[in-house]
Amino acid sequence: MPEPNHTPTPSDGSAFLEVRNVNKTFTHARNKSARMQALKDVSFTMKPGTFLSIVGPSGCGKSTLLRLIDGLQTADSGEILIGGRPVRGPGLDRGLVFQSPNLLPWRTAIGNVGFGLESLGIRGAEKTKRAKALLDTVGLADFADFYPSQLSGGMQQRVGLARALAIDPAMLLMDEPFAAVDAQTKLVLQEELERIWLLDEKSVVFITHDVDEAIFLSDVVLVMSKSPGEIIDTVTVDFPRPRNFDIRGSAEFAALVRRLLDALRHTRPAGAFE
Amino acid sequence: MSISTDTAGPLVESAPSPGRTWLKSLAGRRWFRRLVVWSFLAAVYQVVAYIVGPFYLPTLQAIIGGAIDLGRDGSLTTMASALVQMVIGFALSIVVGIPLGVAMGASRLVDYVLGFYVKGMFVTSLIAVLPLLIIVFGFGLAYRVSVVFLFAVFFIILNTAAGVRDVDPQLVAMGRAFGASRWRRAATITLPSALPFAIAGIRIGLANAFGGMILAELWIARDFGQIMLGLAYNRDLPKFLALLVIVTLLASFSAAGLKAFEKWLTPWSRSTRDR
Repeated sequence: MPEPNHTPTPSDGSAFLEVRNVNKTFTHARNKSARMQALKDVSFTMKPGTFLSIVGPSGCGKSTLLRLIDGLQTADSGEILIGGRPVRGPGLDRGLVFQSPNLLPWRTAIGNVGFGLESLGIRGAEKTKRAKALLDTVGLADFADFYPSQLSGGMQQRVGLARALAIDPAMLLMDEPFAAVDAQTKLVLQEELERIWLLDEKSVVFITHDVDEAIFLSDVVLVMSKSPGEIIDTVTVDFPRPRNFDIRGSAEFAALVRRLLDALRHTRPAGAFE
Repeated sequence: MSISTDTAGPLVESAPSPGRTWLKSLAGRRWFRRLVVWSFLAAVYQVVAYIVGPFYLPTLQAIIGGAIDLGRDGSLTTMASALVQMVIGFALSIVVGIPLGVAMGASRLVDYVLGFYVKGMFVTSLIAVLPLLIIVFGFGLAYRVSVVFLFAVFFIILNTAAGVRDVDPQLVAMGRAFGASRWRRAATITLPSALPFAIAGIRIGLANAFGGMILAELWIARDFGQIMLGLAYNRDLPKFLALLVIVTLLASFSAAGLKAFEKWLTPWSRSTRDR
C-alpha cells in the first residue's frame, strides 16, 4: 500500500488514475441531428489512495464520466488510464456502486455480495466467508439472508457497497450512492463510508451533487459545470481523519461549502438537446 | 444506520369488545369468508333449482348423485385419459414455449423470423384450425395433444419473450460492471427476471389447455367428448353438471398448484409474497 496522500498532485507520473481530454457526446435516439455534449475536454489525475469527489449540477455528465472510468461506456475521444493502462471495458479492479442499489431481487443480501466474487472464480465456502465478512463490515451481519425487498433503501445501498468491496478492487467508483436515502440515514452512511474507507484507503471516485457530502468525505473535490461538463475548479480538503460530525460546523467547512457553491452557481444554465 | 425494530403497536387502539373478538378473527380468515360466500351461493342455487324444477336445474343432491354415477359407469376413467392427453400437450407447450420465448426475447433475429408466425397464430381463432388438425392427425392422441399444445403454447412463448425483454438494463449493466460474461448474465440476471412472466404465461396457458381439451373432445365426439355430448343430448343434467363441476375443480386446483409452485420458486417476488 502506498503512503496515504490526501493532497492532489499534478501529473508527475505517479498518478493512479489519469483522465486525459475526454469528450463524450450523446446523439438523440430518433433525431440524429440532436446532440448533447455531456463531457468537454475533461482532464484530471488522481494519486492512489485518494478520495476524490466530483460535484456538479444534475445532468452535467458526472455520472457519464464515472461510467467511462468503469468502462461501461466509451469516450468519443481522449484517454482514461488506470495504473498506466487504458480502460478497455469493465474490470474487477474497479468496484462500482450505483445510485439505485441495482441488487438482484432474487438473491439474498449475501448472494448479492457474492456476485462479483463468482466472476473471480471464488465459490462455495470461500465465497460465503468473504461475503459474510463484507456484510459485517457494512453493519449488515444479521441480514445476510434477507431479500433486497425486505431491506430499507439505506440497507440496500450498504449491500451494494459490500458487493463492490467484496472483489477487493484497487478503486471504488461511487455514483451518487446516497442520493436516494433520507437525510439522517445519509449522514450515518457518510460517516460509515469514511470509517470503511480508512480501513484500507482505496482510491475512490465519488460522484455527488451534495456539496457538504463531497467536502466531508473527500481529499479532493472537482467541480463540474453544467452541460457540457467541464472541470471548473479543484478544491483540496485537508481536515484530519477520521472526521466527525463536528467539522461540519467549523468555519473552514463553511468556507469550503461557500467556495464550491459559488463555483457551481456560475456554471452555465441547463442546456438540453440543442 | 439505525435498523428499524419498531415492534410497538399503534398508539391509538380501540378497546376490543369482549366476546365479539372470536367472531372478528374468524371473519378475517379467508377460508371462513369463502365458506360463507359459497354456502350462500349454494343455498341460492338450491332454492332456484327447487323453484324451476329438475327439467331445468338439478338439485345439489342430484348433482352429487350424478357424480357418483359418473364414477360407476366409467365416465370418469374416460375423462382421466383425456386429462392425461391434455397434460402431455400442456407439458409439450411448456418444453417448446419457454426456450422459444427466451430465444425470441433475447435475439432480434429470432424475433424477426418467428415473431410473425407466433403473433399471427396468437390472434388466429384456433377453433378454425381444428378441422385441419383432424384431417392431418385423425382422431387419436396426436390430434388431442396438438390442440392442447396450440391452445397453450402462444401464451407461454409471448409471455416468456416479454419477460426476457423486460429485464432491467441497469441490472445488466451491473452484471457487466462486475465481470459477468454474457452467458452468466443470461443465467443469473435475464432468466430469473423473466421467470415470473413465464410462469404467468404458463398459468394462462393452463386455463387455455383445459378449454382446448374440452373443445377437441367435443369436435370429434368420441370417448370423453361422446360422453359430454351424450349427456347433453339426453338431457342428463345431474351427470352433466357433475362433470362440469369436476372439470372446473380440476382446473382450479391445478391453477392453485401452479400459484403455489410460483410462490415456492420466486420467494423474492413481491406480488406473491403477501398473498
